[in-house]
Amino acid sequence: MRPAPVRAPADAATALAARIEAIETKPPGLLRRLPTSPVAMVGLGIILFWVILALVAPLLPLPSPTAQDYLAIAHPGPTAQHLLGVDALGRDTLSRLIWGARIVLALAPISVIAAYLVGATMGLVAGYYPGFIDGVISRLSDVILAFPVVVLYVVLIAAIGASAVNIVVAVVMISAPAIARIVRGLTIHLVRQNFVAAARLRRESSLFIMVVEIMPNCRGPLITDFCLRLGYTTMTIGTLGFLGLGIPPPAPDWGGMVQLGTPMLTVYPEMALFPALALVSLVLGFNLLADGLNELANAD
Amino acid sequence: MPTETALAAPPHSAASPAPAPLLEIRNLRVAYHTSRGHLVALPDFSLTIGAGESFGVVGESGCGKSTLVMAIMRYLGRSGVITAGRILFEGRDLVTATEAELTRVRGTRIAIVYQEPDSALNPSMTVGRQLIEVPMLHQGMERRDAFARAEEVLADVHMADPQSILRRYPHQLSGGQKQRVVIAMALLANPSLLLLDEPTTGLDVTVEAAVIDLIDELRRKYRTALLYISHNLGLIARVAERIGVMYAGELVEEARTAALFASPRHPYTRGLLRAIPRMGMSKRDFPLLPIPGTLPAPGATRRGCAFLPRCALALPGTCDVSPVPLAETDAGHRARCLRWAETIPPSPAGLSTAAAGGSGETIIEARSLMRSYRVRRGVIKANDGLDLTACRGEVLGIVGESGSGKSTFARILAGLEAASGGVLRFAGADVARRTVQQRTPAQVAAIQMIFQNPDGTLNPSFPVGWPIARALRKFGIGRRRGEIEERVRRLLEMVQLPASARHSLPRQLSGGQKQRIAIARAFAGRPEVLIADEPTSALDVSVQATVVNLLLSIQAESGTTMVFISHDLSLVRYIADHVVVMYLGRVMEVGPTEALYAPPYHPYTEALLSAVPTPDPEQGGRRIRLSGELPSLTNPPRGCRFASRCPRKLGPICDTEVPPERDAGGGHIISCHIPLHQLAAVAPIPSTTR
Repeated sequence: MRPAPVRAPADAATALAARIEAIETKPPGLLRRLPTSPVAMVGLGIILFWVILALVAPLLPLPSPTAQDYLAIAHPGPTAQHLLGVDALGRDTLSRLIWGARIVLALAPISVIAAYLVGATMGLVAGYYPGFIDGVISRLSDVILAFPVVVLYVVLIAAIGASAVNIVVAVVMISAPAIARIVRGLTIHLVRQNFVAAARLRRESSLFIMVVEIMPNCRGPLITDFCLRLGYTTMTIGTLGFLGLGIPPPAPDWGGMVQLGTPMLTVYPEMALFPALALVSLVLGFNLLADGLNELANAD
Repeated sequence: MPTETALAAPPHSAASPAPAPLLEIRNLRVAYHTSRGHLVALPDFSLTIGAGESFGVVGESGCGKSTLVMAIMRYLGRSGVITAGRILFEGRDLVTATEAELTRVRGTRIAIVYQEPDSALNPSMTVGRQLIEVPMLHQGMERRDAFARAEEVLADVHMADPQSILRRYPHQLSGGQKQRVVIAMALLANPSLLLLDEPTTGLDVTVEAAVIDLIDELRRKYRTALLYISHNLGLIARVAERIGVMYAGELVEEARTAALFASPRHPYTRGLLRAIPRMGMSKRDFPLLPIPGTLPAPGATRRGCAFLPRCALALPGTCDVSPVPLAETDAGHRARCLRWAETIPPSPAGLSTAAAGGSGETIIEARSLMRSYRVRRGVIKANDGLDLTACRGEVLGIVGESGSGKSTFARILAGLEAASGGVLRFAGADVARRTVQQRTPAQVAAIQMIFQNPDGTLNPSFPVGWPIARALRKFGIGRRRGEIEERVRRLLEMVQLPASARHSLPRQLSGGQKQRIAIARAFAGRPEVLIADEPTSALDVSVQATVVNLLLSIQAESGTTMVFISHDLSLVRYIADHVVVMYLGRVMEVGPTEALYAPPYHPYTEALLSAVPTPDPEQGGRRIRLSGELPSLTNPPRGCRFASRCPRKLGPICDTEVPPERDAGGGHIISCHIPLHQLAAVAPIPSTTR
């Protein structure tokens, strides 16, 4: 061994360079590895299909989703004029599906993001302050989580009225506790890490530690949950629409379309089938994406 | 882990290796299929172990030693494959054996003890149920006979009251007891080969010593061959008759234990021996010599010697031409080196840190410091009347086993926790009950800390330069962007990292590099006191040397006071100017390092020192092994804390009365009922004094 001087920056530098070079081949971040997962790509494809349709809806040569073609009501099945047929009120199903996608694709992400803002805050605070504050937040969440979800939605929407804003409010109230629970668990683990102790030794504020030191390290598990929750919420919005608690008519709501078509199920099944398929495909898209992300995360 | 060795070891009692080997591994090649391709863990491995022989394999993390154990057991998992070679065990090739044959061999002929006893025991079954499975399954024994046999084996591993142990669940046992149960389980089938993969990692040094003694005793009794894997040279020297040094999946040196320590041939072995502080060594005598560079990445292509990039003897044109064979250097001594006969230039004597040592001005003073936690079953007193002082500019070492309260003291001193009582004066002001929020910014900047686990010490989401820059800004040392960048660069240079390292994410750095970033971060606020809580216990020995050298040189240059917490007595001996020995939240003994490591000893210190694995236990003759378990912190002994385990207990007085502080002179204070002259009348623990 050569006599090692107390300072040997050259050695250290070479060692580090070698190390970093060796690491460059390591898999990059979760989202950048997405293309390697066929499951995730299929999910993403389905979602993008609907997103693009929703975006270009005004440019498509479609009748208005609320325009009634009384002549078509007699023969509501698919025709050259109405590719997917019309509903009981003579409104073009294809147009309503595509315009309806705009609603669900706006409403689901907005509600989930809002739920995340509330839930993550609750979880961070509960995990960071054990004892009384944690007790209050956790028990409150437990109460909400103890109810059957669908019943809770129905009661809530029936109480506050059916509207886009109220759907967001309902999703936040019902999803936030579940999100809070995940974030709380992660926070309890992260708060014990020494980088948090190091931050405290810099006199960082609690707010800084929660938002800057802890929150970014929750993103891994939360990305998957976010996609999964988009799927749930899409389904929920559909369910509420089906029960007549969705976006009020005449707005094209997928759940409402299924409901409207249900009485005709034996005669004109496509009336309910097409909107139901749209709903299923979108939920499937979100779930597949979540599955793929989960697989990628666990592959590390 | 105590990393400690002596250079000379006596010849081990000659249990002469049998002519027909028990285990013969020939040209074994093991690879893993991963998402990053085909990685070869063991390129070409050969090894022979005779019946009843004990063979030690030593190497740093990533050298392939666990892969070796798993390959012998054929437990490589789905991704591991043996692509070539043979594993001949009792004449049978395990590589080609069927699953049924393997099951027979695993249960009856080869047994394994893992690092984590918890992973080997089923938490939902009593110890008894798990133990009787072995003889019932493999020997077709009746349930009652199996129980009798289990009880017998538990008695063999020195478990007090085996009957009650059989009825307990694993969580009702301590770590040391669990490892004894696992060893008992391994011995039940009376195997001819016992594989031990770091079986004492995670155990306290006194418990480790007892487990090592036990393994040695059982080996002689059952005539079992051992393959003992460890990263700890001192430990390996204690248990093995022959040692193989592993590097990058190859044995680079193989020799009888005494020969290996007396005349190491391979530059890597020589490097390892120079990188660890040997008991009795002080920072004033020698610098620790790190091995430059890092282990090659698995699967890296190379020509010639694997150690070449880190070797001081490497000669272009000789070492990088073709693979180097493991060739005989002396009788029974083989090394994989072409230039083993060359001498490595001698090490420079002394270090610039020789000047360090403290000014005599008290900077930290703890008086009756208390810290208790309320738990369901009572109150845990982690610190219970702690008294100690540290002088400006010195290194204060704190040693003690887990549960001694040394980390609790560190957290109170740093302001991460508040004391429940007592006084802790820092530069005159009482900070005992003030956490960082209540301390002044200057006080917070003045006491900084380095943590044990390099993995949790840096926020995984930010580049490593970020916390350093943030600390500079928070402590008002830099304001403008350019100024801060310049200071970050200088701090990184201080810890021997290039300025570009600040853009790396923590996961891109090795453990040692992360600890160096932590050092840079701690020094950003120009602290007066640096607390280092086991900063190297998770690092490999060659890396430990770098971190220790850095800490010492920065500490000496800046005049910072360092509180160095460790369970490694040799390391503390090397680093510290003063040492505090803690047990169950109290100070047992305190004194200048030289005085503390020589008689008079506190009986606990004496036991700790004698437990440190040394290559030559016979030479000293004195081995003190503590009986019993660490008492519960909720209900500690009332008199002397150590009374329940003390081998020199006087009598009832030890149980009832708090021992007096006996002053042995020069600041050396021992809390014990035994009079000083009796404490002084013991032989020094050999190899701890020079």
